[in-house]
Amino acid sequence: MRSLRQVVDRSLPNKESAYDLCLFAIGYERRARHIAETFTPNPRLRLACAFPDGKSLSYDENYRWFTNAGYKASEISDKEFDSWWASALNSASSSSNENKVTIGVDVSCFNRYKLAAIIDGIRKHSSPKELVVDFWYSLAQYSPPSEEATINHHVGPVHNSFAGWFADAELPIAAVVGLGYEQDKALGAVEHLQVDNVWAFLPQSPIHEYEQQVRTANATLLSSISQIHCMNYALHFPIETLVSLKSLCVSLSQENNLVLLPFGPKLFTLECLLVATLLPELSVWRVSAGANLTPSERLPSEHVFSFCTTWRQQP
Amino acid sequence: MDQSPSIFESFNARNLAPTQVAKTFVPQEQYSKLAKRCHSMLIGPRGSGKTTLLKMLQPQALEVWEHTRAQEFRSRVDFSGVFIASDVSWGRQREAIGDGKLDESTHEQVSRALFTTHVLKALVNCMIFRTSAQPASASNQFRRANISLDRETQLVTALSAAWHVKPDLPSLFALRIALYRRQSEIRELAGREVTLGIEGRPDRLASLPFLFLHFVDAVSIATNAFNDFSNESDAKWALLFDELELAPKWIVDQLILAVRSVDDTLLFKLAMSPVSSYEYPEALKQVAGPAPGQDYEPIPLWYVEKHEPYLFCEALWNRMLAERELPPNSPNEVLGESYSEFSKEAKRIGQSAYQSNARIARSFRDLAKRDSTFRQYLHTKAIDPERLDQVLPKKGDEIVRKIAPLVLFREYFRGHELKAAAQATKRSRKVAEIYGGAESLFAITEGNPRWFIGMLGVLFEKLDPENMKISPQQQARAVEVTAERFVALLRTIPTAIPKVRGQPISIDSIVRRIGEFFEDRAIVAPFVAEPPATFRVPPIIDKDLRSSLDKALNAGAFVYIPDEGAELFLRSISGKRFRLSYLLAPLYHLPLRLGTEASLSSILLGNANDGPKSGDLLDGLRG
Repeated sequence: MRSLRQVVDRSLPNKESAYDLCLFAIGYERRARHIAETFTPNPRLRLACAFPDGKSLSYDENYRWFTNAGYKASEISDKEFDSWWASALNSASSSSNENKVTIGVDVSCFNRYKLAAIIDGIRKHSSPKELVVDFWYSLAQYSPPSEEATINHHVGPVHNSFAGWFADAELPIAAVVGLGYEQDKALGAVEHLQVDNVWAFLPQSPIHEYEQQVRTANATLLSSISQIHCMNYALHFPIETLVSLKSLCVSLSQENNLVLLPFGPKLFTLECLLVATLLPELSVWRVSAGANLTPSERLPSEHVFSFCTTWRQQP
Repeated sequence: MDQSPSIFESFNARNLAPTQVAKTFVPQEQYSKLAKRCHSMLIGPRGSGKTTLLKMLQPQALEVWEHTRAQEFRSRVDFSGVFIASDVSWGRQREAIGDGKLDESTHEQVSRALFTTHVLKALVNCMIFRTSAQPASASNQFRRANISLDRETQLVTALSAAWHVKPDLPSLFALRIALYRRQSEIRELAGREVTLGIEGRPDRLASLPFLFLHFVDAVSIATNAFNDFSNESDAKWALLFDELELAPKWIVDQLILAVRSVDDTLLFKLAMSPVSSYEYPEALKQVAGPAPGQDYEPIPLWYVEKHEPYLFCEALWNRMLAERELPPNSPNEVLGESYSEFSKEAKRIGQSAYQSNARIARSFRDLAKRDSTFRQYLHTKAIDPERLDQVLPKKGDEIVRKIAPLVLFREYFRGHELKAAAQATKRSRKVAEIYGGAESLFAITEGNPRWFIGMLGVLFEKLDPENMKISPQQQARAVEVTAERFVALLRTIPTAIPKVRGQPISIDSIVRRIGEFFEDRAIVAPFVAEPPATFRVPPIIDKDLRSSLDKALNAGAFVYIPDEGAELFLRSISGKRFRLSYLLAPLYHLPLRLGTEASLSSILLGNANDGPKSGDLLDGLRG
């Protein structure tokens, strides 16, 4: 098992950026190809993961773009993803002549299960080489939230490896909740878990319309918890968010069983997963309608964020 | 900086130590039943108080509990309660052990070992409490045991051998630590087995005797040993299992059968949601299985009629005021009378409830002016709304009194046009002040301690001790927030995807359709004296739809209305009658009453005929 050793800022890639492996998702959103298309990183191994469902909107266009750009596009279900990703990491490691493997992952359009599997695969990768992984995130242009009623398919740990471990089941549960702009979604999850101690993270970004919508969608939850339990985090400063999140989780897990509920931007989900690799007793959950969700188009904005992580085998 | 307490800190017994639960505990009839020396099955939806009741059987809670009846219960409870915690997150972790990569049989074996360890830890915790020195400040003593160090050593040595565990020292504390270590070892074992694969697995697992411990046997050995070493040869122990609807089937099967165990040192107190009580038909239906009234006592934790939880709510009210050092004002003094308590109003002002300036008379007159169908109804009954006080006593009792609550609501909502306003905002419905007042507010909480304390706790924090009044607006807002939280929960519950007329329908949509149907019949449709306010599930029903209804019932969205003579213990939802929780009534402008019944088929399929047998069973409702 390898551990996360370092997190640093990293500028966005360009065509000179040489990676051993880059991974993108072929989703139905236009922004699925935005980073690859705009910044044209230059990996030896080009992988694009397509999904078995949701093949509408910009999906076909994205699929064509990636294949024309030399990416190996493979349709991989959630069930198949863990082993597929492990195999991809093995290929990247074995073909790298350096003592480290450089990887770039665009997290914008992966579902939360696959995001968790990506992180899990990285930490379980058996090669002795250091893994240096850049994570990229494309913030979507603002569009109002869907008013479609959804039926949840999954309410539970995002991935079996992130179910956490509560040594003492009698400790009270605390929840750290990243807020999104789906009406009362966070509130429902908190109620489902019967949590008393709730800490909310509100996303702030250069696109200000989101913030008001998030506050409106979570008005009941926000009015129900103490102001000191409400924390703003800046999407454009992911490392600061990671540090704050980790600090809070360390503190809460002294006397609570801790569950992270990362709604909202996928970047926050990624940050929660990274914290969970450092604090494996905590649990990261997702609430998902899965294939029941009607796809909706999300166009890329001009804002892209990135940071770099380094992973080494534990002694 | 806002230091106001979180509504989520209001009350959840799951997150409280037993001594904390005891601080606010108010005993109810169900607690008396649970405290008996017999097996019990506590059945109720979320928040109905199951965890609280179980935790109050623990010796640490009973010892510190201060209440006028506390000593009575300390005398009656002649067993040591061992609370075995459970919750949805812990349950999911148990499911995920081995990262989901173990074969089913190994996963179950590992899961059993984990569960057994969990139970044994709870037992040792209880033993530690009983053998610890009582704090000097404690005024009562409850089930403290006197065991010398020598005997403790012998006890721990015996248990270590029986449980295949190796504490670092022969003490109960060290035994508990060893069990924590055992938990971690089981988790590591699962991970190791994933890596090693299936080859050689049976031999590897066979070499670990703790994997084959049976939790009932392991507990029985320990309780008998403790009794011997503490010279309490006839002492009983109660295993208090919470949230059994989250437990794997094999646990519940074994527990239900264990009530017929020959070991009479053990009692089993099982808490579960209404659905789980019949989702394990094998155990319940077996000839050898237990039968209600014989081996265990079923204790339902819900109320059919709105007045039933009043006394309990009032006792909880008093307790909450006392805890906050607020003046002991009555609920009516602080919250006011409810809108529908027209008799009380009349009594208070010393006049007939039907006098022309009384609320009910005004409502009759106003509704008759607005609603021609109501006018027509009164005409057929020869009742003049302008002269209500001249209605003959018999007719007044039979007709006027019966329809008065409905008239009040119908007139209120037709007059205030809230329905139109609510339809304009799709996201939430404002709660009308008509639902304020002690009687209504208590009914709305359904006697559900979590809802009650959650709602009232926040209101009390804003209460000025000099002016002990909570305005109708504040009450309405509190109900609104509680209802919103509840609806958010209903939306979150994962389900299969039932369909009605080929269209997927979620739990909250089912609830909404039912609510809107009853709203239409009570407020909008032509006036009838007894519009439907309950529904009956068809005898045959699509399994996905049934699953969604089950979950709604477990969450507390529906309340079971047993037919006359039917047992309270719900074995199947099919063919049964339910009402919406009164917590949801304000969202759909419903009076807090039972009403006649409609077929769920009619409601979901939109048939005009409301009768209980109406409507064909169409797609999505046929099993």
